[in-house]
Amino acid sequence: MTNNDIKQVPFILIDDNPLDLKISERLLLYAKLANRVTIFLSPLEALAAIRKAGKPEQATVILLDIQMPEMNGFEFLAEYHELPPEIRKRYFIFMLSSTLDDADLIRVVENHDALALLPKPLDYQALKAALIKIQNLPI
Amino acid sequence: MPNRKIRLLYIDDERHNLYAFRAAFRMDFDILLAESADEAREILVNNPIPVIIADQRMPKETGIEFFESIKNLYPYSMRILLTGYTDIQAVISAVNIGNIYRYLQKPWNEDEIRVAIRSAYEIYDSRIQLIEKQNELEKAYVELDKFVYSASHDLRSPLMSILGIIKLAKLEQDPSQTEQYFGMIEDSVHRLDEFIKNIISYYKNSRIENDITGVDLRKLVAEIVESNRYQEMATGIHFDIRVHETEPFFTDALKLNIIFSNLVSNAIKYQDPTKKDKNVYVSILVEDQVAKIEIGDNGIGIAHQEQENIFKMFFRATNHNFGSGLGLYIVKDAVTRLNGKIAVDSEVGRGTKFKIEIPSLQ
Repeated sequence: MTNNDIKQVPFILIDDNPLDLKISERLLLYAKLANRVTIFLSPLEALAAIRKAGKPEQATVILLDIQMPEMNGFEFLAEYHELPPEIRKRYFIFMLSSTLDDADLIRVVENHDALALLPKPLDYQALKAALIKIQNLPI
Repeated sequence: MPNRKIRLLYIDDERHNLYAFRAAFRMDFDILLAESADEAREILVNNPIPVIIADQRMPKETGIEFFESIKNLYPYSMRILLTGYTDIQAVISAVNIGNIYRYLQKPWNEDEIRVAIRSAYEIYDSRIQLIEKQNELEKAYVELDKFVYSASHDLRSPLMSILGIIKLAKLEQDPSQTEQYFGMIEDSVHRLDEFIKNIISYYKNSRIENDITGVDLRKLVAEIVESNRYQEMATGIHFDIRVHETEPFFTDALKLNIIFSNLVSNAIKYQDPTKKDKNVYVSILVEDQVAKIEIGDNGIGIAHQEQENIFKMFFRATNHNFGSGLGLYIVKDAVTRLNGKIAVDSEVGRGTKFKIEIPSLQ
C-alpha cells in the first residue's frame, strides 16, 4: 500500500472490547495511517492520560467507541470538552461503533468535538479520506 | 364467582342499620362497617375495598359528599348509594358528582343488594385485571425497546468484530497467522452465542408459570457448584457450601437453578486475580417457611454508584469481563417470580455478597 499522500499520525483507540481494539490497531498499521497507536480499555484512563499529556506535539486522532460500561462515548466527550481549546485543537475524534441507533447518530452529528461516526469494522479508506481533508486544513 | 368472599364496606350513622346489614349478609360477603365518613376513610387507608356502600343521609357528611371525597383516591372501588328517601335530586347528584354505580332504596331488598354487590364486584375485578394486563403490556414494551437498542449494540457488535477479523485476514501476508484469526472469530462467536442463550433463558423464564415441588437445596447447590468448579476460571478458588434445612422447602426448581447458576458463575467470573486466597461461598438457612440465601465472594466487588443499576436490563458494570448485561436482570426477575427479594452488599476490592429471601410456596 502506498501512502505518499498522507502524513502518518499518532492514534488513540478507546474501546472496552479488547478484540475490537486489536482489530482496529492492526487495520491502522496495515493501512499505514498511524505512526503510533495507544490503546485504552477504559475511557476514564484515556481521559486521565490525555489530561496529563497536555498539548500533544503532533496532531492526534482518537477513535472512540460509544457503548462502554463505566463511561460511554458521549460521557467521555462531555468530560473531554472541559479541556482547554488549545489542547482540543490538536485532537481529531471519530466515533467508532457498530450502533444502528438513530439517537446515537444524531448525538454524534450534534456533538462539536466528534467529527463523524464510523461504522465497525474500521473502514480505513473512509478514515483516510476524512484525514486527507483534515490535513489540508491549516492546523 | 371467586372462592373468597367479596369484601365490602358499609357506612351508616345508625348503628342499628349496620348491625342489621351485617346480620343479613355476613354469610355472603366479607363486611367492614363504619359509623361515619371519617371512620370509613380510616378503614380505606389500610384496605383495598372493591365495593363501598354508603347511606345518603348522615349528619356530618352525606353519602354523596363522602363518595366525592374518595373517588379520586380509590378510583377502582365501586360505589353504591343507599337511601330511605326517594329524592330525585340526590339520585342526579349521586350519578353526576359521586360517580355512583348503583342507587338502592331503604328498606333494602336483600336479593337486590346481593345482585348489586356481585355485579359491582365483577366490574371492579375486570377493571383491576385490565390494569394488570396494561402494566404487563407496558413492561413488555419497555423491554422490547431495550431489546431493539441492545440488538443494535450487543448482537451486532460480535458480528462486526468477526467482519473486522475477516478484513484483517484478507490483508494478512503471513499464512501462519491464520490460526490466530480463527481463534479470534471463535471468541466472538461464543460471545454472541452466550448473549442469545441468555435472552432465550430469560424469555422462557418469564413466560412459564411456577412449577412448585419440594426442592433439595443441598443437592441443587452442590450440583451447580460442581458444574462450575472445573472450568478454567475457577482454578484456585475455594468453595464453601453450608446448607441448613430445618423443614422441607417448596419452590420452582428451575427458577431457583437459574438464580444459583448465574450468581455462582458471576462469583467465579469476577474474582480478583491479584488475590491469593480466592473464595466463593453459598450459605442457606431454611426456617419458618423462608429460605435465607447468601452467595458471596472476595472478588473485585461492585462500585457503590453502580449497585442500584446492576439489576437493570442490559446493564454492565465493568469491562473486566464480557457479560451480556442480562444475568442479574434474569436473577432479579426469577427471585420476584418466586415472591422473594434480593439485595447486594459489595465493596470494590473486598468482594460481593448477594442476600436472597424466598418463601416456601406451599
